[in-house]
Parts: sequence; C-alpha cells; structure tokens
Amino acid sequence: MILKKIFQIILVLTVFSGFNRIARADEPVTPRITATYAKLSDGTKRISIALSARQNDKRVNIPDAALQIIAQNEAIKTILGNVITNQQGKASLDIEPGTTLPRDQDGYTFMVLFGGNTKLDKTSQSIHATEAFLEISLNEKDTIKTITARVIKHNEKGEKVGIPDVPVEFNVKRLFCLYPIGNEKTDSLGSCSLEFPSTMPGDKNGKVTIVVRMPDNETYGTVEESKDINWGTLLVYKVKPIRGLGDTDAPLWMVYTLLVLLTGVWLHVVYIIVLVIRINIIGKKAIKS
Amino acid sequence: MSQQEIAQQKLVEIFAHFGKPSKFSKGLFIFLILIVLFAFYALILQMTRGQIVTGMRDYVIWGIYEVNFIFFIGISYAGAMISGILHLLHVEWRKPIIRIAEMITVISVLIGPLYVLLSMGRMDRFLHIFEYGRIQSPIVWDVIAITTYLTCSILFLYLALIRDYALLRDNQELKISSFRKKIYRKLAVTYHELPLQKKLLNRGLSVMSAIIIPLAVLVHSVLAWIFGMTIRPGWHSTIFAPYFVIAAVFSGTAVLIIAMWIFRKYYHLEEYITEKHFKYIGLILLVLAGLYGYFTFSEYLTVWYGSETWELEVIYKLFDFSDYGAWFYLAAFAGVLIPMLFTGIPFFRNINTITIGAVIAVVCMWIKRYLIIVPTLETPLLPNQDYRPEYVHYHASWVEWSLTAGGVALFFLFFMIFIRFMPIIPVADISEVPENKEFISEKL
Amino acid sequence: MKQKSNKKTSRRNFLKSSITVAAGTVLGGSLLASFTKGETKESGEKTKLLTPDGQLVEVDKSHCHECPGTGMAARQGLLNKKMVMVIDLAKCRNARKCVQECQKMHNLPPHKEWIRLYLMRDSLLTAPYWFPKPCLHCNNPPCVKVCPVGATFKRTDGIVLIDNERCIGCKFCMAACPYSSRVFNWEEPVLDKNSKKGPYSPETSVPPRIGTVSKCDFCPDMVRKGELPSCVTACPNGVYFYGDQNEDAVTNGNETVRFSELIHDRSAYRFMEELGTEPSVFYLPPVDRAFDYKVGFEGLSDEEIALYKKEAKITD
Repeated sequence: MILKKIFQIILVLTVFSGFNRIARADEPVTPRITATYAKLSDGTKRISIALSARQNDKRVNIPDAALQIIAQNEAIKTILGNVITNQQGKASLDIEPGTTLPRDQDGYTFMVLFGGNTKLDKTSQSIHATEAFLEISLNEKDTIKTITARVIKHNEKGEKVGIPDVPVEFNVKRLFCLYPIGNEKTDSLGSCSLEFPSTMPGDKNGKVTIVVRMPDNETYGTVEESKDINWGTLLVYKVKPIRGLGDTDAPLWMVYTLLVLLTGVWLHVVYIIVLVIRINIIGKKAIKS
Repeated sequence: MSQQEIAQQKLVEIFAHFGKPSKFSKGLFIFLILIVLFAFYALILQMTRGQIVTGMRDYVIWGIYEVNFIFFIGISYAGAMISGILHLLHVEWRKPIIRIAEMITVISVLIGPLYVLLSMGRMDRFLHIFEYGRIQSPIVWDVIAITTYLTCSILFLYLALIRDYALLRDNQELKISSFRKKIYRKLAVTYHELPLQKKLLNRGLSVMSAIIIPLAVLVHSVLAWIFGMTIRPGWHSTIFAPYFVIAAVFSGTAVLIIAMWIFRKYYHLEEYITEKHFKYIGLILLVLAGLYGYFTFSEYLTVWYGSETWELEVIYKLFDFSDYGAWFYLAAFAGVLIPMLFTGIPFFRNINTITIGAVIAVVCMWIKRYLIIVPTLETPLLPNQDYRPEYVHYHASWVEWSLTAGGVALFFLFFMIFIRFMPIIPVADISEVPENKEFISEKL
Repeated sequence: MKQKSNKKTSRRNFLKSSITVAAGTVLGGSLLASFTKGETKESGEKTKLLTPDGQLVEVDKSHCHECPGTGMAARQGLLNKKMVMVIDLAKCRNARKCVQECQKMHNLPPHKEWIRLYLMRDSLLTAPYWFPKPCLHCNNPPCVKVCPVGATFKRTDGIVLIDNERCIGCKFCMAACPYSSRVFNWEEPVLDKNSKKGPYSPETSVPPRIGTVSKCDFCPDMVRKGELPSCVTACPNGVYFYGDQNEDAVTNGNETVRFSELIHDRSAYRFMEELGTEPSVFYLPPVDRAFDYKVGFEGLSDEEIALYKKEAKITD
C-alpha cells in the first residue's frame, strides 16, 4: 500500500515536472486530487478533498471546481453527490449515518472525479477505507479517571479484533476545536488508556465531551468516537445584574441625586407659575371690585 | 407726576428708538437672514450626505460644533450670573442692564444646543435620548440640565417683564396694533402694581435669581464633565468643572459688555447705560479674567510638572509654535491680559477700551475652547498611524464654518426680533425711586 | 446526505454553479438530479448553532432563525460563555490578512479598519514590533458607561456590541474609548453584493448605517455557529487565539491550548492595564520574535512605510 502510494506520488511528480517543461499557456494541466476519509463520532462519514495543480512551479489551489464522488465495489457504482471547491480549493462531502453504501469485504472504496475543462485535464482519485471502530470506556477509581480506547475491526469471520500499534488521540471538545489531552499508541490488543486531567472545566453539571480519534490512517482513514461524562470541574459563572456605570440600571445614589436635584429645581418652577397665577387672580379681583 | 406716569413717559422715549426700523437695521436683518439661509443649505447638505462634509473624522470626532456649543452656553452666563447675583445683592445700578443680560441668556441657550444636534450623526434619532436615556451618561445630564436651565431663564426673563408688559398694555401714546395689545394683555396677567402683586412678583424674582445661579453652575459643570469623564489627556482633569464655569462667566460678562456698547451706540441709550456701568461690569470682568488666568495656570502647570507621556504630548502641541503655539499663547495670555489691562488700569479704562477688551476676551475664549477640544482629540493613546492627512489633523470645513456663522447670525436675529416686542431697558424698574441713594443712572 | 462546502452557497446557488461549472464535462445533470431527490425542501446546508443553554447543535440552515441572535438575545449574550482573545505579538509580521478578511466579512470599505495594525516602539532603546488591535472588549468599558441611549452595551459573554438602530451618533463612545477602537460611518455605506443578507443584528453589524458608530464585534454570530472569526482563521501565522474563558481553551485554528496556561506561561499582559478598563484581549509579549519588524513593510506604499518609521522613530 505504502509502495503504491509512493509510486503514485512519484508518477504524479514526474508527470507534472515533465509537463511544466513543455507546458504552454493553452495546454491543459492535470490537477491533483487529495482525498481523505473520516468517520466522525456521530457516525457521519466525511470525504474531504483538496484540488490543486502545478502552475509556474507553484502549487495552486483550484477554487469553484465541480467534483463528483462515487462509492463503488465490484458490482455497483453509486453517485454520492457533487461538491464545489472553495477559495482554498477544498471541499467535503458528508455521508449521513444510516446511508447504505456499496461495500466490499472490509470497507468502502470512494472515487473522486474531476471532469476537467479547457485549462485542466480530467482526472480522478480513488481511496479505500477499511472499516474500523473505536470503543471508549470510562472508569473512575479513587478519584483517578481513566479513558480507555480500543480500536477494532472485523475480521473475515466477522469477529472483532484489535488493531495494534496505531496512534490514538484523546481530546476534550471545546467551543471551536478539540483540546488535546494526550496521545497514545494501541497495544497488541488494540487498546490504550489515558488519565483524564483533574482540572478540565466542564459545563454547569461538569459535563465534558471526550473525543477519541485515530488520526488519518492509510488503511482506515480517520476514526472518531465521543462520549459525554461529568468529569469536568463545575462551571460557576453568574453575571448578576448590578447597578453600575456600564449597566442598564444606574447606581442608586445617582438616581437619588438626580431626583433630588430635579425635584428641587422644578418645584421652584411650579412655585413661580403658581405665583404668576396668584398675581393674575389678585388683579382680576381688584378689577371686579 | 406719579411713578406710573414717569414710567409711561420713559417707555415712549425708549420705544421711540425701536418703533420704526431704520434702513440700516432693515439691511442688517436681510443680511442676517441670508446668512441663516446659507447655513440652512449647509445643514441640508450635511443631513443628506452625512458628516463626511464636515472636517470631522475618526480621530477628531468633535469639531467646532462642540466649540460653539460650549461658547454659547458660556455666553448665557451673562444673564444667569450677572443679573442673578446683582439682583440678590440688591445692587441698584444693575437695573438698566439686566434685561440685556437676560435676553443674552435665553437666546444663547436656545442656540447653543442646536450645535449638539449638529454634531450628532443621527439628528433624526434625537428622541432616543428620552426613549432609552441612561442617566449614567453625561450627555443625558446635559440634556436634563439644559432644558431645565432654558425653562428657568425664560421664566426669569418673563417675571422681570411682567411690569413692563403691564405698562405696554396700559399705554395710550404708542401706536401698538390691537393684536399686539392682546398679547401684551395676556402676558401682563392683570398686573396693576397692587402692593400684594408687587410683593409676590418680587418674591418670585428673588427665588428665580437664587435658583438660576446654582443651576447655571451645574449646567456648565455637566458640560465640562462630558470631557472630564473621559480618559483623555487635557480633558481628564478634576478642575475642569470649575474651570469651565469661570470661563463661562468670563465670556458671558464680556458679551454683556459688547451688547451694552452696541445698544448704547445704535439705540441711543447713553442716558441709561452709562460709563459707570461699563466701569463696574469692567471690574467684574477684571476679577473674572484674573480667576480664569489662575485656573489656566494651575491646570497647565500641574500637567506639565507631572509630565506623563500622554499628557505631555498634548501640552507640547499647545506650546509648540509649529503646532498650536501661536493660538495657545494668544488665547491664554492675550485673551486674559489685555482685558485685564483695559479694565484694571484707570488710565486705559473707558467705554471703548473696555469693549475692545471684551471683544478680545470673547474671541480668545472661542479659540481656547477650540484648543481644549481639537488637540486632545488629535492625540489618541495609541499613535495615530493613519496616513490620510484629514484623519490626522482637523480642519473645519466650509459647512461647519457656515453653520457657525449661521448660529451667530441667528443670535443677532433673535435679538432684533426680541427688542421689538420687549423694552430693552426695564422701564418700570428704573422709574422706581431707589430705596437708598445709590447710583442707578445719571438721569435719576 | 448533505453537501458541505466552505463557500456558503445555498442549495440553489450550488446547483446553479455546479451546472455552469460542470457543463460540458462528463458529469451530467441527470446523474446529479437522481441523487438529490427529496432534499430540496431544506436548504441542505447544515449549520452549527449554540442554543441558549450553551449547547452546540447542528441544524439545517433553513431552521436557523436565531442565528445571529436579534433583539434581546443579541443584548444578553451567550449563556455561560466568556469570550477572550490572546494575541501573540511574537508571531505578527503585519501580513494584514486579519484586516482584509475582517473587512470582507463585515462589508467594510478599504480604509475602514476594525482591526488596526500599529508599529509600536515602547522606547528608543527597544525594538519596534507589530501590534494588531481589535476592540479590546473591556470588562469595564468606558464607551458603554458614557452612551446616552444604551446603544452600545456589555453582554454577559463579555462582548461589547453596538446596536446601530439605536445609536444616535453622538460619538461620545469614540471620545471615551482610550484605544481608538471605534469608527464612524461618515457617509452612506456602500454595500457590496456578497454582504450578509437577512435582518440587521448587532451581532453581525451588517448592514452598517450612516451616522452611527461601528467597531470590531468579536463575531458572536460566528460563535453561535461554533465557527472562528475570520481574523483568527485568516492569520497565516496563528497570531490570534480565541475561545471561551469558562472552558479555559483558546484556539488559533491549528492548535488549541489551555487559556490559563498560555497566559501564565507566556507572561501575557493586557494593554494599558492601569486604565482600569480590564480588556478581554490579552497580549503575549513580542519575545523571541518569528519575524523582523521590517518584514511587515512588504507590500506597503512608501508613504505608509515613511509614516510607520516616523511614528516608531526608526531612522534607517
């Protein structure tokens, strides 16, 4: 497999370098498709694609290109959909859990097709992913919290067997990203474990989401699994509505001072108006009498 | 002759000058209207195209609109402080000039706040202040204080006018249209110099003059706090409120002197407004100039001595001749020392020199307020690394200048309209026999 | 099945563009149609949404009404969050990508910068360094104190926003802000076609309005979706770290670190702490710099370089 990949790269490189030497402005170049497969913790399968081409000895990303993704085995071909690359030349397709895909003995084969246009040749790339699973078990013993992860696959007989010697990342889910808490390698039984840090903030119930992943593996792609547990420190964050300069409500002394000043002045204004009215009444009476 | 008859006679005498507008005043009126119309055009332009037509930009966010605002509110001190204090102290010679002073107050408090509206990006949302007002904000203090102040100064002016309206109502000699008579009758509220009426009126005047003094102090303090409450060099100073108050009384008094001179000259009130009035008010101006100079010295000495980097940056902009130096020395020295010279030294002291001193004081006070606002805004805490010159240095645009001119024109226009409807000299007051043998005017 | 593309195109746009781009290629429209049946009712685009109780859920974009939050939701802030930013001065080289992406995202004209880049030099004996400055979202904000109408406000999640439907344009907040973080819409803003659609929300600050103040808003609409603001993702050097202080994690898109450890280990400071404004933005001092400050002059006009040099008192 590795040899195949290296061979592919060498082939692509030689093709491109050869191309560059003879390339003219109007001659199309063959772009490169890089595709990776990941199984996310909710069961979604994601195919991420990057499309680039070599231009003037520089690798440039190709935006706004349509790509078709096909899942296939020896018997059937299913078109999964089309995606368009973004400004960074990247696109991804999510396959929701429960979608039936054509599969072979141990996994799936995906094919990414680029149709080509006047400047770019058409090309394709296929990836194969052997289906692997991650199992998480969480144990707490004498305040020591341990996460144990086991990476397994099904053998020919359909039995679960551990995958040994693969790296496993342990993370805690945060607002924008995963926060890594440690990396381990699986043992001969395919499992590894890590102590959960004691000071990891959780939500107000102490809940944290632990995400364990086997990162990008040639055979299995990325496999991710997550579990919620109340191992985090409790969040105490209350913003009390207070009276202050920067708040909606003013400090009470300010309200009182303003009220006192305003009533003080406006009472005098009222008093003056009353005086004028009295002067008027006195005058009217005088005229009558 | 009874006191009433004397008063009626004086009324006719004084109104003789105002009865028919002269050619000059007609011309002046039209000229002022034209200026106001041009300012209105500038206003329309600013409202339709936004404040991009002004010289204000992201760093210097306030310009001469704010300068004019402080300036006009400062001028309003003429009526509030001079007239209020002199009333409370029963100074008899105040009587011929209090009407002018109180008119200055009302007119300038009407015009000043217009500049706050002009410096607002969204004048159309002005009512949001009442809808969403937060009393933590000095701007809300300002709105509350100025509306109260305007109400009180209008009442103060009106109370002192009741007796004159009564005279106008009862006057037979002057040709007053029946419509105007009707208005005078309403405004005079059946006042007939009855002893009880007079007592109540005097009580009202005393209360009003007592309340208007602290109110005026508060208004200008609040104005100073708009600047004082921000963390900015040249603004964030504890003496800012009293400094502004003194500056305001100083400029208000100076404007009163100028107004006295103009009325004396063009309406021939020499017999009422005499050289003595100028000398007395001149002495008040002298004291205020001294106080103002003292505050200025104290403010800049403290900041310079403390030599905080940020503060020094502003101070050096003011001291440096290549920057604002010339203006600063003019405003801080000439604006204080020349009025002091003309009012303080008997040799130089006469009606014209005192008035020249007052003009210099008023102009310099305007410049000083410019120097308080603009150099500070041109000195942000983080350096201004904008390479567009208009974002670094403020230059008022023609729109701002024409609206400034419009405000000044409006000030004179209001005066010209006001004096047609109310006697510029409180006739009833000066016709009274003074309680003591103190000087009122040469005539009495 | 859902289509995912970082370029936020709706399903309809997507179909249209895919047809135009794919026209004349081996991909036929019929193949495409065969697989998209029953999907057109929803926009097809999923978006992450932070619910009021602080949970991230994924919903279809057509169901997302409170994204961004409007009305009272926009004034209160995200529950149990306290957004903080850490800016690593050692890595900044004035690439200005943050400024450009921010302007793109908020539909700002070229010179209206919510993030300003300063060339700072603390004294003549020390070396200059680049200093990116967004709004510092102070916990004791001088701008909020002075606003007469409550148009600018501090939320429970630490974000200071402006409601430009309430702002009266008095500019008092601009005078009060010691950091010159605020800019004014001096003239009618020109909107480009790509700007965000939908009703105005203080959380997006789009569309801007003439005669009102605007500033960096810490992108709460992005936080609601669980996405990073564009200044963070645009920075090629990972200068900006953004995150929730209550989760004690900040990320620059590539690495996620404990906030408390980062500011402790790297001796973070807040700009002008002595002003008492308590900013939510922390700076990591420019030690062991990744770039010489001169690298930052690349691509600037001679005028700009001359001005920066003058300001930082660089003589060479």
